[in-house]
Amino acid sequence: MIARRAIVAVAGAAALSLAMAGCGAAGNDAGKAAGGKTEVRMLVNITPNLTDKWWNELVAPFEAANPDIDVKIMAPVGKNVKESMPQLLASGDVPDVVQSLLPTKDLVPELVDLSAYEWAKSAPLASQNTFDGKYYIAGIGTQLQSIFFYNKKAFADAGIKNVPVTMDEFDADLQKLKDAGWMPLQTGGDWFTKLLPEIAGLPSIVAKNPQWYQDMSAGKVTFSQTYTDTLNLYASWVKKGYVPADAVGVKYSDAEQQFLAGKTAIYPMGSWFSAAEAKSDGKTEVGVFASPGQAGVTNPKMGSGLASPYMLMKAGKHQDAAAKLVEYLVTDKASVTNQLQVDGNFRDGFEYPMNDLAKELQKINAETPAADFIPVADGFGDMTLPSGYGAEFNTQMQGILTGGPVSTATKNMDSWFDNNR
Amino acid sequence: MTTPSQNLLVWKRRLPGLIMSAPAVIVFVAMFIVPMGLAVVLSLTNWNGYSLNLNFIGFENYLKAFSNPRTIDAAVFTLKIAFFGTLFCNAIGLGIAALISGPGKPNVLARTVFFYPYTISALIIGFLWSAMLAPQGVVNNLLSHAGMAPLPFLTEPSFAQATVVATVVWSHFGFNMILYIAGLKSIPAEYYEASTIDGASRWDQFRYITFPMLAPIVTVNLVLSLVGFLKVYEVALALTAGGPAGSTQTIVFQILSDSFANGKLGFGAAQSVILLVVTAVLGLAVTLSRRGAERKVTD
Repeated sequence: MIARRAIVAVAGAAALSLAMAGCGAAGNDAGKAAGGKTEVRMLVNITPNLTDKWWNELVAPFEAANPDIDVKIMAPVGKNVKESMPQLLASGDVPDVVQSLLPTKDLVPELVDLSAYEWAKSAPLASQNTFDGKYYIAGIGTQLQSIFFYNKKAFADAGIKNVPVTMDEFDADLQKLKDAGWMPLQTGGDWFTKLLPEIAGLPSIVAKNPQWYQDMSAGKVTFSQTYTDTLNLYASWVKKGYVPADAVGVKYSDAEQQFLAGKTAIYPMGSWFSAAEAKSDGKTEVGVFASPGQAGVTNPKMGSGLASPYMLMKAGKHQDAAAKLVEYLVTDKASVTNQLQVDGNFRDGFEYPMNDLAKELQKINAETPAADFIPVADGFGDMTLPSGYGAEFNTQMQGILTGGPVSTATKNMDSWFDNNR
Repeated sequence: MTTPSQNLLVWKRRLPGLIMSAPAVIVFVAMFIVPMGLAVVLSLTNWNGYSLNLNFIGFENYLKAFSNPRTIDAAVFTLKIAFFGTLFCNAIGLGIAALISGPGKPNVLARTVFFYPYTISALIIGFLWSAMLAPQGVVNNLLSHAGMAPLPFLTEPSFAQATVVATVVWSHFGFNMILYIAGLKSIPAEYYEASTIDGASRWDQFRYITFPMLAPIVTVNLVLSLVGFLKVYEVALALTAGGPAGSTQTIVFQILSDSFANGKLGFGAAQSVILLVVTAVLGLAVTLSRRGAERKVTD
């Protein structure tokens, strides 16, 4: 009886082992889709605008023109593409193309050098995103990130006829708005507390020192040396009540709705807000202006982001087919226009049906010299700061927003840089 | 001294048990022991999550963890959650258990109601309370209608920390309550009958019979609460996203942020190992300190 039990147990264990091996065997033939086609796997961010269905429709014309290539859209396994990459690289399940991620010094060794491709070198913000002069990424357009959206009625009520072009004018306009009964500035908690001081300060800081990113990373200048004036201004706005008292508890989506509902006058945000504005009920008439220059700065830079960047992974199985796909995504007129429109991004020469706000943004984009586009937060290309800077900066700005002294914020940032360079 | 045939018989008897437990052991080793070992190895490197090479840097990550202000702040807040969460969950859980451990439909309904929050996902709980306690959420709206000033549940650092602790307690005390109810039902009724005859009050009964007899359950509850609260993450993520100004960032939040958002997996692994050691030490300390009380019950 014992022997029989042992046989049953061994058989059961063997069956279980076979079943588990069978599970592991699935997926080992990746790379070749059904029918002998080449399968190009592209890891993308899935958002309310960029749905799985939208991505498949985007690549459908490419697949029709290249019947031997099948594009498989992969959603992130983690919170987003950036957090999924370490897991995918560690597991060996590397996609051929990765969207939405900017290369970093750590990631560059894993990427295909695109310097040989003309379409990569002529893509938007291409030269700003090089590492040691080499191209590793190609995007479809530009996101403007040093801009202020404003409620036109609020400006009219406050008697502000022209948008401010200097920070002194901006500061004065904030008081006019407050005197007219408006809450001047919309900010909030979440990830975007940092936007207001960053938009107010960074364009002028980098205008004064175009090597600011490199100098900060090398320790040649400190955060407190370069940002203190901006943060004192920001703290004064908080103290004067130019931002809602409970702002730090307001989430990103609520802040957007508050501005669109006409509860605040100025909303510091990136150009992607125009897509949300276009979908709103239109009760609030919105305009936009670039961040004004601080004292002594007549040509403030424009904080920007690369819209929908694509990179090729060295460990990907089909680099030639992947390169063809990315070339299509960043050069085909219909494809680029579709991608620009869905997320409210811009590229000179690529028009799509735009409302007045989007046209204003397109104008700002077209009038900004290419060399004036700078990164924000952690940076890009050779203009990068230590990883995690954006998150730490956001935390310290929340400290000021909740009444903490500027000196504590600057001291903490200097200490952070000392520990993370 | 056993003969070879006796040894064979012993192994034949053990074989089914070993084979039956093999899958669980394999899963335990694969899902716990191996990752723990890998974490220790990674903690000695500066791996960024991308590179194919591992550069060993010794105990640099551990030294950095003990001097990094963000890690220290997160650890202090996590210990606050663990201490106050354990205290309140057990006090409230035991108190309510004592009230509703009896039979009857009202008691059964009450147990269901109080246990229900424990069954909800921590993320959902965080989002739910975030919406209710937001500056213009339901609670502050009610306070405004009552003529009171709104409270900074999520906007003032100390208040936000208290809010996180309260939310964690609200979502967990039901679990402690259920364990205490099970413990209360195992106490022989004769003890209470005898004490009643001797003139003991209800408080005397609780103090000298109920609480001592619950010693093993108290130990289990304390250890489970403590270990569980040291790993709080989802509630803080959904309720406050670690803010304002990083004041409600827990140690697991910090580990994940360093590991994946900042690409410092080696540093994150070091913090994980430290967390593992601290959890083990605290769990063991509580278990050992409770031995005396448990022995009294078994004696």
